[in-house]
Amino acid sequence: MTRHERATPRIAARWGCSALLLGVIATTVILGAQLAERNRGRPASGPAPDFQLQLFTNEHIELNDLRGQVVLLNFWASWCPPCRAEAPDLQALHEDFAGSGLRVIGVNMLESSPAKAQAFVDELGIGYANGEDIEQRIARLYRVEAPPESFLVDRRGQVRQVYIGSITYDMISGNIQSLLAEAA
Amino acid sequence: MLAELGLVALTLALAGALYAIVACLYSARTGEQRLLQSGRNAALLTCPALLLATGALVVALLTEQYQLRYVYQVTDPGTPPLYRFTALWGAQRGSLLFWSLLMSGFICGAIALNWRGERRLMPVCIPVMMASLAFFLGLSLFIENPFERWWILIDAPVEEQVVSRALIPPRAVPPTEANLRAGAEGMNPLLRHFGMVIHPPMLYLGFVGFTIPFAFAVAALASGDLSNSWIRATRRWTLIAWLFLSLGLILGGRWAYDVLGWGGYWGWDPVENAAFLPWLVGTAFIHSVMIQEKRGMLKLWNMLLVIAAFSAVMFGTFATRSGVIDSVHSFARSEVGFPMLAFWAAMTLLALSLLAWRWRGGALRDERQFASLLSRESLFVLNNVIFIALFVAIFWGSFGLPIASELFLSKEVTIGAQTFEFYVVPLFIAMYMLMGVAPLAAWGGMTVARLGGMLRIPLLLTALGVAGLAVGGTDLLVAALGYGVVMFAAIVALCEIARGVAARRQTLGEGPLRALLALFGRNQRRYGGYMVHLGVTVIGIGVIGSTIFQTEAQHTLNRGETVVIQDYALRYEDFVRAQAVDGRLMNIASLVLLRHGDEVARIRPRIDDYPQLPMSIAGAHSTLENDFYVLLIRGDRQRATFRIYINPLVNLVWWGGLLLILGTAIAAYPKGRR
Repeated sequence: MTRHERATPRIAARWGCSALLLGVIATTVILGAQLAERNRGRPASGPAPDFQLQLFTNEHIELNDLRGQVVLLNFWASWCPPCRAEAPDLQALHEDFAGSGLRVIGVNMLESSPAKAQAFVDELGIGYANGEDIEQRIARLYRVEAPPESFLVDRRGQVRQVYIGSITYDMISGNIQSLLAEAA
Repeated sequence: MLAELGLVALTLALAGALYAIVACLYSARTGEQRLLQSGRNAALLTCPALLLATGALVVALLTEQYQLRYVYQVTDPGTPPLYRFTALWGAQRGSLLFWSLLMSGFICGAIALNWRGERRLMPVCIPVMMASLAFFLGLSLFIENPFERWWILIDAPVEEQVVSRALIPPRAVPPTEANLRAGAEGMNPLLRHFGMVIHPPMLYLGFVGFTIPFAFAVAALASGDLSNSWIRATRRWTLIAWLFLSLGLILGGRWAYDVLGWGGYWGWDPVENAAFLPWLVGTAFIHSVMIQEKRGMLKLWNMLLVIAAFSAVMFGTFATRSGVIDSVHSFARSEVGFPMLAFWAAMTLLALSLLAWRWRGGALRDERQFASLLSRESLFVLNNVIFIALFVAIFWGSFGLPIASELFLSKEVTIGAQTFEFYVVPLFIAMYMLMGVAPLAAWGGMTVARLGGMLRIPLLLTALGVAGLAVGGTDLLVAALGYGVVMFAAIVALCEIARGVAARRQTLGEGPLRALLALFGRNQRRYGGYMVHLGVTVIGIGVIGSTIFQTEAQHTLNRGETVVIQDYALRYEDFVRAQAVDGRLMNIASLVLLRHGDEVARIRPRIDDYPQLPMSIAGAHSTLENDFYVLLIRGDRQRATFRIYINPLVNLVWWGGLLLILGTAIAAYPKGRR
């Protein structure tokens, strides 16, 4: 065997080893970034994470398409009593402010069957957009821990307010009005 | 009292582990044997100490000490005794402690059994094992302490009054017993299944088991003793870890099949895959290590595989316990993520750097070159290529792509089962083909004509088998080909066993059974290996049958109504609500299964009512031919909707698994000293 023949696999292996070490370091950095991302809390300010939602009426909406409007994002489940308590207030907000540019969007999460969610919507006479968060993707995006939680997004798509637990009409109508007064 | 006992024992174990690291490393420098012995004794002490700590937690669980936060979290007054015990691994804190106990058990076994034979490696081997253990003990003590208790701080403002601490805070009182009992959260319903009693311990044993080969490999690298002795010590430990890991995977599949209610047993879920990855690397190593033993080749590669197996275990643990990915298995978001990531990276980098250093020194040079493409060693290398390709594909699909897409594209891309199957099935086909050819190839090389001659009989038998299937009504080409490939591998294994028996009968005049037993006893590894191959082929047949020929249907039936599916008829008889011992309400539907007009079974699928997560438990009629598997979707006394699966040959998956475990046990069983 010539020296050259012996050297080639050694060089290959040396490169391989360096590549492996670099690979492990790069993986560590990426995983660390991902973990930090996962460990961050709810998006309390800054751009609202975009998502698509299939509504119970079978239409699709995408958050980014709603730029220019104020969005009240409400995470709920039919088995959660506070969600039941706040639904009439959300409906009232929808009725009063839809004309001036408010979109209320209900995101149904952790539901055992779509039928239960539909029954809830029918029973409470909810008229605003509602859809199922399949595999809790949106809830994860917003780091929702347990329903109800609500997010108020301004006309430029920025999260302005987070509400953990149930909300009432009086609690947030002022905030909504001031956001509606802002320019897009 | 129990909490104090547990804390003291846990601290003692950590102290023992740390002392062992220092003492053994110091003895590695100085050669001081008594210090090494002292380090060993400290390492051996961790096992009883952890037994005591775990025992304290188990007693607390069994005796309902709800002041312990862990007991409060995973049990409630309604939890039955068996699940009180299995609650030990029902959530992060307890399962970390249990993990440490198993790891320390494995380590003590390895030290005790290899102390004499591999004394030279011990000064580094013990510290590596103890470092792994100490890391997990540190997590248990400082981040996820299972002995934290609830306290009420008298002086604090109301919303900060209730805290959980391991040590008693000043001016604190325990909450009242009644409050604790009323608040206890209880166990995740998914875990209330018999499979959960054994699946996690087996999987953990498989996982922690890979610490031993890793420690020996690092010790060999560090000490420079790279003769084949580390391989000897490692091989059996790898087989044992592999055995438990296989068992854990099979039991996990069984649990998913029974509990998750989707008619399947493997969903390509990231955490399932995380457990499968070390299995793939371990399998590659079990094969390629033979080349090193027989031919003195692939030394660098084998080292790399041992490191990769341990690294994959630590990565899987990190992925499962940190919340970095979403999965049915994930533990809740936890603080252990960053330390685990750091530990994984540190151990992997340390081992790889050592490897690179020794490689430069020229110590891992192979003794021979590959002489022929058609040799057993070449085919084994091909086997390794396939396993590593599987590893890469599954790793990328479960972790690489989802994480990269979420991080860089802000989009969640997850890979479905179908995509996985698209990439993985061809690789598995290649694996089965190799499994058929490689055992027949000779070391060093052989001619095509000779290999062809050896393949003639197995190929003929396979052709006959496929023809038989075609006559029997399997009209799907894909299925016939799939069965053919798997059958070929099985036939080769059977032929090899038959050949061995025939040879013994001819030369020694033994009876067939005696010859068979002697064959397995004399050459455990080889024939145990064939048995594992047989097990894998039986699993393969089960997988092909139950995926390609699965029938799925959904029907709503009135009471007394019958639906006909293939040659079965299913009649909806009754519906009852009953209460289980732990207080949950069960909705049980009762159906009669008829075949050709005769009643063959009563099937009772049910839905267990848990407030947030109703659980659908399938009812099934199992035979070797198929499972008639029924899920109750919803219903009442008048009408009920059922989803029905007929899963042909699915039970072969479990039987094949049993064969695989048995074969591995034979291969790993220590030979008596003669």
